[in-house]
Amino acid sequence: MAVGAASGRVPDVESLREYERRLEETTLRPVLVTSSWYWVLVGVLLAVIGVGVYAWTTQLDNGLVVTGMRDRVAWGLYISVFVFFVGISHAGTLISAILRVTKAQWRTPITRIAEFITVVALVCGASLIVVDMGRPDRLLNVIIHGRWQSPILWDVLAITTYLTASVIYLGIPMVPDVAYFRDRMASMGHRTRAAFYRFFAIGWEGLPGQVKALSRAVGVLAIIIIPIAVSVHTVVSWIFGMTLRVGWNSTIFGLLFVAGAIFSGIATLVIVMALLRRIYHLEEYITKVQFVNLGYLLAAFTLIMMYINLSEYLTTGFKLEEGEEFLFRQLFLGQFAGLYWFYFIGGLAIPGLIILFKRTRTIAGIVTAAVLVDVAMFAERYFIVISAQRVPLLPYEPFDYMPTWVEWSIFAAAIAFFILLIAVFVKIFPIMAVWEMVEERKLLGRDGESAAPAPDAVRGRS
Amino acid sequence: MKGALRWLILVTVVVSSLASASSAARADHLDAEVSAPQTVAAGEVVQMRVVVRLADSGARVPGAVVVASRDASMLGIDGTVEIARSITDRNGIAILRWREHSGRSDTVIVAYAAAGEVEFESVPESVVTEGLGSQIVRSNNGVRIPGLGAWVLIALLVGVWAIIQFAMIGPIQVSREAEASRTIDHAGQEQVP
Repeated sequence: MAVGAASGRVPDVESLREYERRLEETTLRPVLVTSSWYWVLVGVLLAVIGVGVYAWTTQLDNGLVVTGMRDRVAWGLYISVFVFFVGISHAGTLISAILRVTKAQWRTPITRIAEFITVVALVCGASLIVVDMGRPDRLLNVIIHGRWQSPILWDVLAITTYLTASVIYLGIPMVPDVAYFRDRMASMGHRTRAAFYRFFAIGWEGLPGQVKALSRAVGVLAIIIIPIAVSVHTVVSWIFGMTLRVGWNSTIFGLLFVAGAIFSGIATLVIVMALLRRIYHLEEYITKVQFVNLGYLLAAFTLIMMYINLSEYLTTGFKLEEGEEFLFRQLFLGQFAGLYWFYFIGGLAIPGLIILFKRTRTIAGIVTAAVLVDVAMFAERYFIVISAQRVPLLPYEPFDYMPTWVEWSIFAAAIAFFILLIAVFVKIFPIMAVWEMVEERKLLGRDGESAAPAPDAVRGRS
Repeated sequence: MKGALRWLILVTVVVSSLASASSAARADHLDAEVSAPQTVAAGEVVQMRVVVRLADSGARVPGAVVVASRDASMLGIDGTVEIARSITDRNGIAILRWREHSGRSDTVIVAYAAAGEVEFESVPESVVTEGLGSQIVRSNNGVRIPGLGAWVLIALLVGVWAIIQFAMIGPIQVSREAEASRTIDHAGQEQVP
């Protein structure tokens, strides 16, 4: 029990040690204890992935004709999910890098989860590009025959750079925590596990020189990863925006995509955070503070997204060229109207209202808002990709795209793969940034401010 | 009564004369004299000069609509694509201009009709394009800003990767610090009797 913290005074040495011990035990628990529910979850996820793999082999055998895509709608569900995954990968960048740079201390307990999401989402997103290729054996042609002038090559380079930087940015701050795992496993006699963590701990002993070197590396990465992340989703938007197709031919697509990415990234972080908090009893560390602050960010982004939508559609709609008229009819009144209005009302307006009112600004309310945002943002990715391709470029009948069972199976497998990777990550690596949390608590004590609220107080509030 | 009848006959004669004159004008065939470069390079602007005359008298026809088109096929649909359109000046001359994107040799159909006519007469004109095979070519009118090019992207990428590599020095230093610490500990243990 953190006595000093509970009373709002400077935490004494004993309470700090107790806090650190409790935190380490909490972080270690998922690694040591595995419930039967976990294996059930893994089994279900593997089954879904298995169906997806079967669907993919069907596609490899028969070609892309087994999908709903044709020459007039050549990008379908796969590309929509790819854009969605790249979007939610911004969770790590925002929470971990931007908030680290701005020294927002409330983000420390959720940093690691955010960084997990980033890496996992990027892996899933990149996988979908391979699936979308009719001939994945030609994947390397992008590099071999790539042209510097091509947005496709820019996208490959941006995503590769972002994935590399994200993996390093996930790994480096984890070194002290992995070192703790190494020591604990060795003391408990788990030789293989200890050897595994020894490899990743790179000899961490908490020496002053090591702390300095690690802090500098994290600082450099935190700054460089922000422009990389922004570039990634901007370049993804340019794949669409650098065509003359109605609906994609937009100058603010980069802004729309980056804002949407951060928006859906926060929402995904809230959902994953809530699930892990419930499953691994992290209520002491992940409190209502994190949910409410992320909720405020979500609310701000609902307004930003509304503004960008207004700016985009009003300027094109005011002139309403022939193709735009077709697009507007199907988007606001026709085939895609249900998706669009769900996105706008269910994904922007209602989440904003939930967070606006104090009565609904609870953990449950914010998680509900986050779920709505994520579903709506997926819908947005879908109608952005599909609706523009439905606008005829020549006098032919518009083609109505509908994903087939192959695409739905691979989509489900991608989501299952995402959840599985998160589930595996939390079973191997420290779920929270223990070292950073303890260091920050020490700093709080030194500055004479009140430390994090006591567990009982936190539970009472949430 | 007689006067009215006389007026009726007069009006009928005038109207029928005008109508026959008009139909005679419509019935006149037009001829077009097309002059165009026989060979152009892919990407070049083709300029075609068309002189439209009345077939009977050879008089030049001002205000005639002249259209250049060619057969095309896309997405399994065959059709005719208009590539240029102009109107003859008072000398009966129309100039058609278009950029030749296609690398193939092709026949351009030049169709023409007098002002107000809906039925076009046409004449085929062969245009041979040389250069880039069937590839669609890049416009020569691109804006080239001095200093900007792919090298900027390459430099940016190299810079970002250099910073990432620089950050990787951190873990290396952590590892070296640990080795140094172990060496000192080891030396200290050896000194202890």
